Amino acid sequence: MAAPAPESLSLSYPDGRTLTVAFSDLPGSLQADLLRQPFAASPSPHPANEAYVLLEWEDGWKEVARVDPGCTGVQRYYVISRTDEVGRLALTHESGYPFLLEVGRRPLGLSRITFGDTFRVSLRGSAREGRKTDHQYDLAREGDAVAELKTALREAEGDPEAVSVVAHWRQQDVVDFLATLAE
Amino acid sequence: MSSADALAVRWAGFDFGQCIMEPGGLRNPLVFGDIYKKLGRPELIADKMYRYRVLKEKYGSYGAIKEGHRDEIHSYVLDGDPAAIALFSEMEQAHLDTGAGLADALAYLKQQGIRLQVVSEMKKTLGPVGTDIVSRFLKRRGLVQFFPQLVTPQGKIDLVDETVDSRYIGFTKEEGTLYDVLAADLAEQGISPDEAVMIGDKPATDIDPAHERGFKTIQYTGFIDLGPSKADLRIESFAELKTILRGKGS
Repeated sequence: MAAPAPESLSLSYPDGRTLTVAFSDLPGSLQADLLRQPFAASPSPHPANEAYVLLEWEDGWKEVARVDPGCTGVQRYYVISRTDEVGRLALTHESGYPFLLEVGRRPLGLSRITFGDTFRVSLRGSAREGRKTDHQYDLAREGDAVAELKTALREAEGDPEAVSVVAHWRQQDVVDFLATLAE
Repeated sequence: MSSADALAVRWAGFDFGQCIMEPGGLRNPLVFGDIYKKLGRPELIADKMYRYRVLKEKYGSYGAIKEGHRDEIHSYVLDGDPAAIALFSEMEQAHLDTGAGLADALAYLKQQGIRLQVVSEMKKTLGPVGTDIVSRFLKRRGLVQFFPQLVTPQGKIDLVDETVDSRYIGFTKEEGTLYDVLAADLAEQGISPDEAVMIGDKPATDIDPAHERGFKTIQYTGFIDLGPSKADLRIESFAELKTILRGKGS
């Protein structure tokens, strides 16, 4: 019998606030990620009753993964080989360690970046190293994207649809960003 | 090939999927990323991609899901959310590509006086005629100027006046019967099969049955090479059509 799923997740803040959410309301991938963290790991009460997948490689490497106890057999195995393009935006950071933001959505099509200033992104050149190709970009100051959004928002009388900004990874970021535009 | 050696034709038929339309840009991170960012739930992207991949394992391929189990995309992946379902349909279109060099080649063929039609099995089409995925793609990309008509087992669909020629209904490319009706239709326009060329990627539906009925055939391998066929010629890029084909009488 598999271990029961947690009932809730609580976040406690230094000011005494506590946010609690039903564990089942979290996205499934987040539930799995949390349960894989060391703090959430506990010995199975019945290890022999759990379901495991054992993977072995040509070079002798072996891995084991506990899987959902409802799994009943191996269906198929295949590999997808393709060139994936990932953009990496590095921001300088006061710690000395740059902050990295991955851009997965059509990274070769990025046109402007605004952080402080607005920069036009233009391809400087590409260099291939084996199977990898690095595309380097020049960043030239051009315009003021935030001012443009503020103008659009004002002309639309505060209608957020007018600026068409979506969240990169967290919806609250859009809400907070729009609030700064409206100030 | 010199212009003197080029195949002289008066009609050219193009397959749709993996030929005019290339699905290579239809990547899950892009489609589900855009949907759930637009819905204001970017936190769900990874989950939705995982569920879509689970459906692929259940049915074997994304094509199989879209052809026969679209309701499960809506219920299992998109949680029956009408806004997500509408965006899925929109993003499917937005991230499709056209084959390299297609628009330029079509302009050349049209300038040569060659009549152009899409010849599609339309297996993945849904909804009323003219709103299917093929029609929407052609309209969205401005390709109706080249392809005013679709030849399909659902009829010959005129995208300009929205009429349907029912003679084609029920006949298929795979059985070859669609090409029989097409040959008769072209004969009424004074075009014989050897003055017509069919261009597509699939030997079983685009090339061999058309070749057997006297059509000239060109196998397009720019997106996928499905192996040997009876094709008269093979091309990797639509740009090659500008040296391979010329208008008969032009």
